[in-house]
Amino acid sequence: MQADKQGEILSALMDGETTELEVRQLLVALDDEQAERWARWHLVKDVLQGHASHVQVDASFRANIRAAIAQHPVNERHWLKSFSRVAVAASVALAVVAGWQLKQQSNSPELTQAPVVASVSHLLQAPVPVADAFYPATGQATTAAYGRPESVTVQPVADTITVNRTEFNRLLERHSDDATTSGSQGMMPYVRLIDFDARDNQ
Amino acid sequence: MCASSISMRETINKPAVMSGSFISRLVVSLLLLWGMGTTSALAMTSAAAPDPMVLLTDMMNASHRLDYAGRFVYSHDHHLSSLSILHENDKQGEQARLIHLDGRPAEVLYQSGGLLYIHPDLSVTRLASHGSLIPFALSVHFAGTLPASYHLSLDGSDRVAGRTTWRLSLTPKDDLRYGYRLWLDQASHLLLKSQVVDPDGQVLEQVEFVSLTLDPAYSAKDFSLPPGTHEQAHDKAQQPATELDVQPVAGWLPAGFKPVATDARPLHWHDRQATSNAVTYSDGLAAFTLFVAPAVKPAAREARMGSTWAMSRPLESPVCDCKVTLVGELPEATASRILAALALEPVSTNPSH
Repeated sequence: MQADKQGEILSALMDGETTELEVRQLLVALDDEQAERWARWHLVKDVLQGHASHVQVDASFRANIRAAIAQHPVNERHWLKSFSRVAVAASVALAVVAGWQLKQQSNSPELTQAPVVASVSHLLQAPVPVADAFYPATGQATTAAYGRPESVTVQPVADTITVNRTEFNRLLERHSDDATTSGSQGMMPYVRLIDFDARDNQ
Repeated sequence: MCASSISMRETINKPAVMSGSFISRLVVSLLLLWGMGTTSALAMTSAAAPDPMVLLTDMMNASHRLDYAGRFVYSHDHHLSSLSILHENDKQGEQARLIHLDGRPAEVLYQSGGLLYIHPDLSVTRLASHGSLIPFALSVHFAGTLPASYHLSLDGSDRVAGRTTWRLSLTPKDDLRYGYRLWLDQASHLLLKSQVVDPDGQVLEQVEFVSLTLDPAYSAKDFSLPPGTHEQAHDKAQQPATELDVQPVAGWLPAGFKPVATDARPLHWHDRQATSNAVTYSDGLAAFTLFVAPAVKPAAREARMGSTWAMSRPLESPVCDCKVTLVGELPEATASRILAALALEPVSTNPSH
């Protein structure tokens, strides 16, 4: 695949305008440079949104960038706007990653993958240097942060999952409260709860 | 250590009477001596390694007694959150604050025995919990005696958040429960890092400080509600439509687990109101809760988050068409086995039956 075409598809992917086929082509053709560009774009996005905890960024630097962006014509800003769309897709994946990993009761041990989220997730599995900074060594693969199959939501039964997650969250809160009150808390119940609150977009 | 301290002092006393030409060489030898002193001090501390049980007890006291501020990361299932903790224990008692640093803003405030959850929409939920906010405080039952199902060992020293730590392991004697690895600050005995480890040695959950300040200067606003918060009206649950007079009882338990709490609460389930009864079991370190609630055509469900499993099963009994759920920090096989052997019994208010 030509480099220009790849760049176009990468950009389109940020806009959420790629087809599944294009994403597949891209995944096959993605070279180190492309992967690095993807990583850079994400880093820029994170910095702009103030999420990049692994890089020290001066607040005035962000303000300057924002001011510069504001002065640019809209058509030059499409790549920035696209960040927010990717962010939406990523947050869908994150919401699932952050919460319960639901286990299917059917015979199929694998979870079905939602096309859009799965595409993004797989792309993020490409070598993304900054991803390592986010995940401490826990004896597990670090670059696959978004891409693990069980972290991908199952669209057809999304309602069921929502109901179950909410219910499980409520029961977890009660479990933590009961266990803590009786002086038998586990290791980290309140960290867990506040984490839910910040992550769970339900 | 005594010997090396004395020789250090003698050497230090000498420079005053020495000529300048020796000074540079002296600095080098002083540094060398200091290095040796440090090394031998460490070696001697290791030789006289502290009793791990004393360390654990100190750790629990330290997390409540000391004033500290720090930032830590919490990770599980390839997900990472960063949080900030402030803790103070003064004349007014213990105060603490946990602030979520990424994602939507959320906080927990611990003041005079009550917990305040500050949600992302600035609404506040007040919980009259007697529990501790400190995420690293282990069970109070734990103090002094080690739960019988675990081995405790001191595995040496390590560095966390730029500080020297003792590394402890709480290893289960069977493969029915998780193990824990703890990193304790050698200076303050605060817990700086902890991991929950499954029977295969896989780390399921981790909390790790990246920075710690002891005795920070706090002001009153550090522990007050942020501006713009509004307290939620207390959830005035209507009388449950279905009173449930049964509670779950475990037919099989891993050694060491005992019931420690019972609890009956109204359950809002879709548009229905019912009572949901719960019993919490603990082995002194790990805990799980069994819930029973009426349900219409319940389905079996399982989910895991870090080290915590949540499992639901339909349970048909002459008493009710119920759903039983286990939520707790147990390996999957143990949780399934407990759930499979679960029965119902008449509600008892005495947790230690």
